[in-house]
Amino acid sequence: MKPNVEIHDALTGETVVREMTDDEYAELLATGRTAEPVDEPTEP
Amino acid sequence: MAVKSNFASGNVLTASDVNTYLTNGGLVYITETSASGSATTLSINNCFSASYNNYRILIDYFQPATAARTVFMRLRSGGTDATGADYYFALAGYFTTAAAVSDFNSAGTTSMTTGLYNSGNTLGLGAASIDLYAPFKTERTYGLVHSAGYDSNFFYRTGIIEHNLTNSYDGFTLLLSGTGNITNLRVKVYGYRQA
Repeated sequence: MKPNVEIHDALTGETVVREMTDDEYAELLATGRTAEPVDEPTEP
Repeated sequence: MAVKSNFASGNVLTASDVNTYLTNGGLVYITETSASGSATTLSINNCFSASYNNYRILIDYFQPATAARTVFMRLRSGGTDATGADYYFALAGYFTTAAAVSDFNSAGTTSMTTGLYNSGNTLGLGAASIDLYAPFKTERTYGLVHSAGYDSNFFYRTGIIEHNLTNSYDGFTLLLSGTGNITNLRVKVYGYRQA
């Protein structure tokens, strides 16, 4: 099951939540996002 | 429309003058929304237009469903994100303990940071203010980021973001640095009055 996207339209004020399309999911995965992200602030 | 600036003592402030001020503030409200908690990305369509060149985006009340997430941004047009490796950013900052935050930069990646980071799934840690320049124009889009975050201590990061394509965009998407939903997030978009 793919994650959902939430889309707000500034013209109509309507907000829709729907499942990602295959293309959207592939693009999200292509960003390299993982459960353990890197490049974050480090504890001082 | 230029705002009248020659009021004198004893003048009557007319309804017309008041309306002029209300509709011509420095920042003009465009839209706002909040994450529902059931999605991993939050997009706003049709918030950029020919009405304004430059925009202020305010993000706060952030809470990731899973600990330790940065909020990233992509520009979009016609409901589709620009997903090429055309985003650049460079941020630096300090913790409240005076320790430096690790430099955060990238040259040619698939999204750009908002600087907003929450090291735990705690409600409302951090905020970001972004001035975005000319996203609707067929020019490169630049932005200045000022952000507050939390990683055991509060910190700030400030810097630049840039999208290197000269395309016109009418919206943007906020996404996290890792998996999981956006539990809470508030976004407001304003346009800078032109004249």
